[in-house]
Amino acid sequence: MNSNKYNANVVIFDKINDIAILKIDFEDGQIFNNVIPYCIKTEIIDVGSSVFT
Amino acid sequence: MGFDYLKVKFIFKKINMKILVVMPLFLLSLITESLCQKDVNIENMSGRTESFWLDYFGKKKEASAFEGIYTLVTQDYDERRGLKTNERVDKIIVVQINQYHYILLESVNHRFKYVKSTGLGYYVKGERLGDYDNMSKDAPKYFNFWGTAFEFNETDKFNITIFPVDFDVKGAKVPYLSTVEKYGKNIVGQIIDNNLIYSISIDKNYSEIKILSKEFPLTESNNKSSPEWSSNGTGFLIHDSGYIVTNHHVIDSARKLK
Repeated sequence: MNSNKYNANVVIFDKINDIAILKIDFEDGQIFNNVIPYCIKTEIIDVGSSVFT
Repeated sequence: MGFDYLKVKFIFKKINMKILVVMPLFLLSLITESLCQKDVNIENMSGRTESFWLDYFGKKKEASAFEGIYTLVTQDYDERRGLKTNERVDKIIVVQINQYHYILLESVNHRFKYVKSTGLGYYVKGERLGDYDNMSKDAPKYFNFWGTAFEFNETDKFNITIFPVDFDVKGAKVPYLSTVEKYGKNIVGQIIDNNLIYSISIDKNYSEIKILSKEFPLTESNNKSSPEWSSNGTGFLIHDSGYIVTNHHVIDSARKLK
């Protein structure tokens, strides 16, 4: 488990839909190697669908 | 983490029993001077939320020389409380925890609050160099305890007030010991040392102090001197360049994201 701490900035947020996107403030162009390949589902999901939050 | 057992040393343990036989008079003088429960003259003990001054430790000594159990003796209790003059009411315990010394004021009648000390200064070769609050890293371990002020309120609860009386060799500030309370037979409290909070347990006889647990680092959020606080939230890393998606309420009103 990577327990490093990074500073982050808010890129954009939507208060009504309660969502925000942050960007970690890397100093030296560092990237993460082990990003889980999430996808953004554009369809409307059904009531009772499993979600991560 | 294993438990650390820290013995509290008292003066009477240092006495060699052989001296008892060989030098009874010398021992008697020692007892008279430092072993028996010591009376502390207190001024202004008759009111509520008033200050009194701990003037007993008028001599410049190493803090270790004061280790032991003392007794506060009030002078004007008899009028108001029906207690006899010089009846022992409260205890003062000077203990060593690690290399630090603390004064514990134990009371079943009062809730003490350490206020300030005009005399808790530090000395080099007899010359007073500064006050307790302004001690430098080079402060030696010789101190004068006169003029230590406390506030007190009457209370029915067992209460212990603790304040540090010396500094360590390296000059770091003495760990702050706070929130000491009595639970059943045990006296528990917290000690803050090097930005870590330790939970401690003090034996009723002050013969043993256990460090129960080492807790989270002291951060700005729980540092009393800082009004800031922090909270946590969950987010998902969605891109290797560092983009995180989270809920707005997680970052709402946040001034710093980490």
